[in-house]
This record gives sequence, C-alpha cells and structure tokens, in this order.
Amino acid sequence: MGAFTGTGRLLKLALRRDRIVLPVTIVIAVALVAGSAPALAEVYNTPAAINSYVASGASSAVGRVFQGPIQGATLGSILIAEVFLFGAIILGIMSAFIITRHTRHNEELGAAELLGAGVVGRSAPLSAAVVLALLANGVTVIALYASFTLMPDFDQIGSLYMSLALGGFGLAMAGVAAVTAQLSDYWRGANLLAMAALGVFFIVRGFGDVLGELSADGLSVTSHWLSWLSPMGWAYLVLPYADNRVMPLLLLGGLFVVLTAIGYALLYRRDVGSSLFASRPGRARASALLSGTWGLAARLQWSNLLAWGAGFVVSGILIAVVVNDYQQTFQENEIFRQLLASTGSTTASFLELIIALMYPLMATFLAGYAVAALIKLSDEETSGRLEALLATATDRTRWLWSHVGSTMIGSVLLFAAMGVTGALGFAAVSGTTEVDPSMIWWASLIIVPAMLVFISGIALVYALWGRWVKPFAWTWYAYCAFIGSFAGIFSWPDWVTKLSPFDYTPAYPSDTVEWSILAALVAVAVVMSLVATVIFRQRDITTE
Amino acid sequence: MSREMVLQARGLVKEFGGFRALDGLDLELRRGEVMGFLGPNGSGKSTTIRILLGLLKKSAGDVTLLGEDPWKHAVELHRQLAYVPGDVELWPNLSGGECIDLLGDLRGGLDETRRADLLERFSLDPTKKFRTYSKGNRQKVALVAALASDVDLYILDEPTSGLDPLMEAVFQDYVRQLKADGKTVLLSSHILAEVEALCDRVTIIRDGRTVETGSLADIQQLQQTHFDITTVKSPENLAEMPGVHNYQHSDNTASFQVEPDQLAAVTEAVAALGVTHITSHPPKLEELFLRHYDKQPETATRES
Ligand SMILES: Nc1ncnc2c1ncn2[C@@H]1O[C@H](COP(=O)(O)OP(=O)(O)OP(=O)(O)O)[C@@H](O)[C@H]1O
Ligand SMILES: [Mg+2]
Repeated sequence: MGAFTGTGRLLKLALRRDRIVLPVTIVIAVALVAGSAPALAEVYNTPAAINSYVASGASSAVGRVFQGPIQGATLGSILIAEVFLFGAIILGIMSAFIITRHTRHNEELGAAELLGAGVVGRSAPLSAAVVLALLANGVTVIALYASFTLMPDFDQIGSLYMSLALGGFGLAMAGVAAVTAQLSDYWRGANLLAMAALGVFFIVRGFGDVLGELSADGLSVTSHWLSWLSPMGWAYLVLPYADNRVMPLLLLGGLFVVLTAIGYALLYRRDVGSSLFASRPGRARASALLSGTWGLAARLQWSNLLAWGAGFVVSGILIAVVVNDYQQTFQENEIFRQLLASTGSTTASFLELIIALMYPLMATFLAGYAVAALIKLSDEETSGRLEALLATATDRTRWLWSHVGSTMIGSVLLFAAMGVTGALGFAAVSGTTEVDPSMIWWASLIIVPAMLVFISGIALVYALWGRWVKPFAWTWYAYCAFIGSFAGIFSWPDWVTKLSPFDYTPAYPSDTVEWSILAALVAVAVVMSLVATVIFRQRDITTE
Repeated sequence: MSREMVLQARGLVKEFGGFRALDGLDLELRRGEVMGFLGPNGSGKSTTIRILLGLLKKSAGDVTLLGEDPWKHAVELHRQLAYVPGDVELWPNLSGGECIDLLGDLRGGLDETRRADLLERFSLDPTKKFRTYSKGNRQKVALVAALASDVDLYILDEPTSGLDPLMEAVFQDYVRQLKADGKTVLLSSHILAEVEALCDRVTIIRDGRTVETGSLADIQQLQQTHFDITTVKSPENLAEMPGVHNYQHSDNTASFQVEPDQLAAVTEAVAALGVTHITSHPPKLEELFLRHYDKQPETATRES
C-alpha cells in the first residue's frame, strides 16, 4: 500500500462533508468582491470622485492599513481598496480550515485512525485536503474572473490578476495550515495558529504600507520593503489594475509548494493523532473554578471571549483613530457622505454622524463572537458531552443558560470594553471638545440590545433544530455584516435590512435615542430566549 | 423475593421520525440486582437507557425509575444514579482528573478514597488531556467518574468496550463489590463472559422488543441439553423422537439437543441402545444468545 493510497476516497468524503460550507463560503466571497463592484462603479462615476477617494486613501495611515498600497486614480484602485482585504481574509480562512478540518479534525474524530488502519496511506488525508484547497481556490478564481468579464468598467487583465492574487493568497494560507496542522495536537489549536499567522501577515503588510512612499501626484503608494516579508503583502504587490506583476504570484505559489512539502515532512515525524507539540499535562484535580455547570461553561467560553475581546479592544481604538484621522478626508468622500446621509439626521455634527456609523458597522462584524460562543451548544450535544452532563444532576435550563447567559454577559463586557478603549483613544488623539468621550462609550453600549436579540435568535434555532444552528448562525452573521456594511449604499426594501437586529439600533449620538426601540429589542430577546428554554426542555437530546 | 422495584418499563415505544426504535419493550429491575441487558446492534439498548436518563422522550408506554417518571424528575433522579456511556466523549482540553471531578461534582459528590483506589487499579494517569487518551483510557475516565460516586443505581452502557482483559477483571471486581454492597446495576454489554460472570438476571431484546428475561439459571434450565453419545445399537431412531433437535450422526456416534420436558423419555431411549460413551452439557450461554440474536423469528419468540 502506497502512502497516497485512498486519497481519492478521502477527497470524495471531504467534498461530501463540505458540500454546504464550501459553496456558501465561495458564494459569499465572490458576491462581496464582485457584487460590490457595480455599486462602486456607480458611486465613483466621475474622475473627480475617483481622484478624491484615491487621494484620501493614499495619504491616510489608516487608509493604507485597510486599503493597501493604492495605485493611481482608477476604478480598479478603489475596488482593491474596498474589497481586496476582505477577499484575502475570507479565502485565507477558508483554505486554512479546509486543511485542518480534513487532517487534524478527522484524526480527532477518530476517522483518520480508522481509515489509516484500513485502506488509506499516511499521506492521503493531507493530500486530499490539499487537493480540496486547490479546487476551492481554483473555483473561486474562475468565478471571480468570470463575473468581472461582465463588467466593462473594470480592466479585464487587472481583474484576472486580482482574482489570481486572491486565490494565490488562499493557497499560501493552505500551505501555512499544512504546517500548523502538524505542529499543534488539537485542531482548534491548529486553526488558531494559522489565524495568528494570518494576523501577523496583515500587521507586517500594514506597517509596510504605512511606511510606504507617497508619489508626487499623491495618488499612489510604493510599499516599504517590510511588505515583502508578508505573503499578504505579495498578494497586494501583484498590483492588479496597475502593474499586474507576475513575480508575486509566483512567490505565493512557491510558498504554497514549500510549506506543503514541509507539512508532509513533519507528518512523517509524528504519529497519527499525536503531534510534535505534545500536550502539556493538565491538573490531576479540578480546581475550585471548574465546578458546577457555570464553571464548565466559563472554562469552555473563556478563550473565545479573550480572542474576541482583543478584537473589540482594538476596534475601539481603531475607531477613535479613524474618526480623528479621517475627519477631513471623510467629509470629501462621496461614499461616506452617502452612508452618512443614510443615517438620516441633518442636524448632527459630522463627528457625531461618523461615530453613529462606525460602531454599528464594527458591531455587526464583532457579532461573530456570539456565533463562535453559541455553536458550542451544538458541538456539546453532537459530541455526546451533553449526554454525559445531563446524566448527572444537571438541569437542562441551567446548562442552556450557562452558555446563552455567559454569552450575553460576555457581550455586555465586550461592548463596554470597546466603548472604554474608544473613549480613551478618542480623548488621547483628538483635540476637539465637540464630542464628549462618554458619548463614544454609550455609542458602543447602545448596540447591546440588538446583540441580545442576535444571541437569543441563535439560541432559539438551537433549541428548535439542534445542529442546524451552525449553518444558520453563520449565515445570519454574514447577512447582518453584509447589511451593516452595505445598507447605506444600496437601496433595498425595508424588510431586507430589518432581518438584521442591528439595523434597529438607534443612530447615536447623531439622533435622539428612542428608548422604546431599545426596550422592544430587549423584550424580544427575553421572549425568544424564554421560548428557546421551554422548547429545549421538551426535545430529545441526540448525537445523531 | 419481593424487593423494591428500581426500574420498570412496560410497552415502551420510541419513534424517530417514522422509525420504531423501541416497539413495546418491557424491562424490570429490582433493588440489589445486577441485570444484563443484551441484544444485537441497533436493537434499542442505548435508546432505552437514554429514555431512562430522561434524554429522550418516550413515544408511548410506561416507565418509572425509582418510582418516578425519568423525563419529569430527571435532575432529582440523577443524584441517585451514575451512568457510563458506551462511547465516551468528554472535553478534549480538560484532563481526565478534571473530567472525573467535574462529573462527580455535578452528580453531587465523589467518594475520595474510591476515586484514588479506582485510579490506581485502572492505572489511569489523571493529568493527561482528555483528547490524548486512547479509547480504553477514555472509557476508564468515565468508569472512574461513575464508580467513584456513591449512588444506588449504576447504568452502564457497554462500559468495557476497549478495555484490555486485565482492566476488564478490575471492572468485574468492582461490580461484584457493588453487588455485595447491595447496589443495583443495569449492564448493557456484548461481552457474554462478562454478563455470565456478573449478572443475576438478563433481559434480551431484539428489534425494540423484549424476547427473553429471567435469571441465568432459569433460562439455562429452560433450554435444551446437548448430548454426544456413542452406542452399541444404531441411534438412528432417536432422530424421530419428540423434543430432539439438530440430530446428526455417523455410524454409532450421534449428537443432538433435547428439550427439558422430553429429557426423561430420551435418556431412557438412549440407555436402551447400550451406551459406550456419553457426554452431556447444559446449553452454553453463547448458544442461547446467538439463537436470540439470529434473525429467525421462531427461535426468538419462544416463550419462557
Ligand atoms: N436520534 C436518533 N434518530 C434516529 N434514529 C435513531 C436515533 N437514535 C437511535 N436511532 C436508531 O434506533 C435504533 C436503536 O439504536 P440503539 O443505539 O438504541 O441500539 P443499541 O441496541 O444500543 O445498539 P448497539 O449494540 O450497536 O449499541 C437504531 O436503528 C438506531 O439507528
Ligand atoms: Mg448502544
């Protein structure tokens, strides 16, 4: 039996397991990248509008971090600035998860051991995962490019290079995961390592672009060499719609090949199911903290809270800096003027408007915390751990609330943290007295009622349909984030935006706060979570 | 023997969608008994146990556990019982010791000396993360957590799957100890030797119905006795006698089984043939089980 025997069978199995997740991810990625293009072409329909966007992005530090090294006053530049980062992150995460899921996660489920003893070779799981990553990225590139052939506003060659750069970055992240999957002994650990690498790539590239040089006309940025240290930097340095360079694409492909090869080499140095980083021994006895249902929930939710907490804290500071940094440039920026107009108020100051815009926008992305926290409910049930728990004197309501309640409490803490860091950050960087820092704190906290609705909605779906909560929660999350980001740009029927609870949050501080709306949100959350509890008490607990 | 009934199920039905996993199952367990709960794969043992634990809601029938409805009074009942699932899956990031303490704590406390003793006798290292344990060691974590609890009723669903023979012996010792202490045990198992060694009574189910229940001795008595004989005269005429089954012979050597109520008549007939060699043994438990597990309905629905 060869080392690769059974790769085809495993690939088929992997395709079956991912038959929903992968197509959904690819559709979201393509829809957000290609879908936003017509809107951009419509908003930036004059050279002057394009010029002003590009000039403000190229000259701002924060713009460079999130928009990359902008390359001249073209519509392509704006597209890269608006969606390239998002595309790279989503493809990067997708690719890394494909690898860890079909190698380490399989091992943990015991499937790999079972298959390994039978008819599959040692290299087969990694090979199947790598082929799947190639397929997924290939399909995304083709779908992206194909959608851009329908848009004459965008340079076709540039669109091709843009699609290839995104796919190339996805593959590079697959390579990273092929290594982290061998380093950690736990698939969540392998995921976290890969995500940490993604974060480092982002930060290094961000620094490289912030330190880059502005061209004489103020419309292009030449990245600092630091950007060349980051694969994400390479993806940007393809410079689609401008130079269309091949060399960074080759670097990305080369990195994928090299890292995958290292992954194979490491694979042969460890036993299936164990790993190079052996687990540190744990405690022989449970500490006083690990006692009771809530103690267990705290233990299981802690790392998730911390990881997202970092996101909330950084977001708070970032908003403060962005608000301060962009005050002038935003006012001249068409897209922001439109977004601000959509918030409705005419009397509020510009600063108030932008604060009222930024916090809900961030919140819809940070709502991922609740998704990550609550899909544990179905993890616990399908794994059989819930069965073991409920066979003790643990009450169902108590268990459900140990997770739902701790996620609610966690949300309050996170939004409070974002408010605090935002207020402090704003106080530190701004000289104006126009906005009271406490306003920023409230602008963050005012989102909590909507978050409670989001949480209890997910809890209700879990109570009703168990494991279906996973696809539901992720889809709802993506939907809310999408609505939150683009509701201002597109004019949709009301009900489309009203499916996102975050859309109900009053625009604070630009508008007067309608307490009745906040109270209604809390009431809806209470009712939904109580209904969830009643239903959950009545249903079968299964591992099927 | 009218000891208190610990568990009583009558006509228990459980449907999943349109599929009947339990189809009128009966089960009774009295205080102090160790009951073997047997049946082929998919016959509904785990489903029954999950109903007893209040994890699944019965579709029809009656069930009481310690005199209460296990669905309505799950929490109170669970303070008085310990459960070991067949497929143990606990928290990958917690050590075995943490899992044991946590489950014990949630059940209402552990007996510390027993905990230490069990860890030692099962030679289980409690400091390893749960995800790094082998299959057998995972099973031991659940066993220690359950057996270290001082409760009245132990519900064990294939508790020894994956244990090596040495550990199996340790487990059997412990169950005997529980029996001596007057505890009640429901033991679902596919390991017949284990059932034979530990159980006072067995209940055999198939396709969600009870097909046999009684003490091992009773069941054995009701079964056919096996004979191997060599006789002077040809034993051929035995084949035609009532109550003789599976008759096979070559020359003057024959083997066959005899129903209990025909035993006297058959042994007389055998004696008349002039016996040169005879062995006879009661049915092996294995034969009995295999007969019930076998798909032929007439052997399985035999009333006792
Ligand atoms: N949640 C569920 N949904 C649908 N069918 C189920 C569910 N749980 C169990 N079943 C079905 O009910 C039947 C009985 O299963 P059960 O697990 O009780 O069998 P078992 O006797 O424990 O078998 P084994 O010896 O293999 O453990 C099986 O056919 C199984 O597929
Ligand atoms: Mg079972």
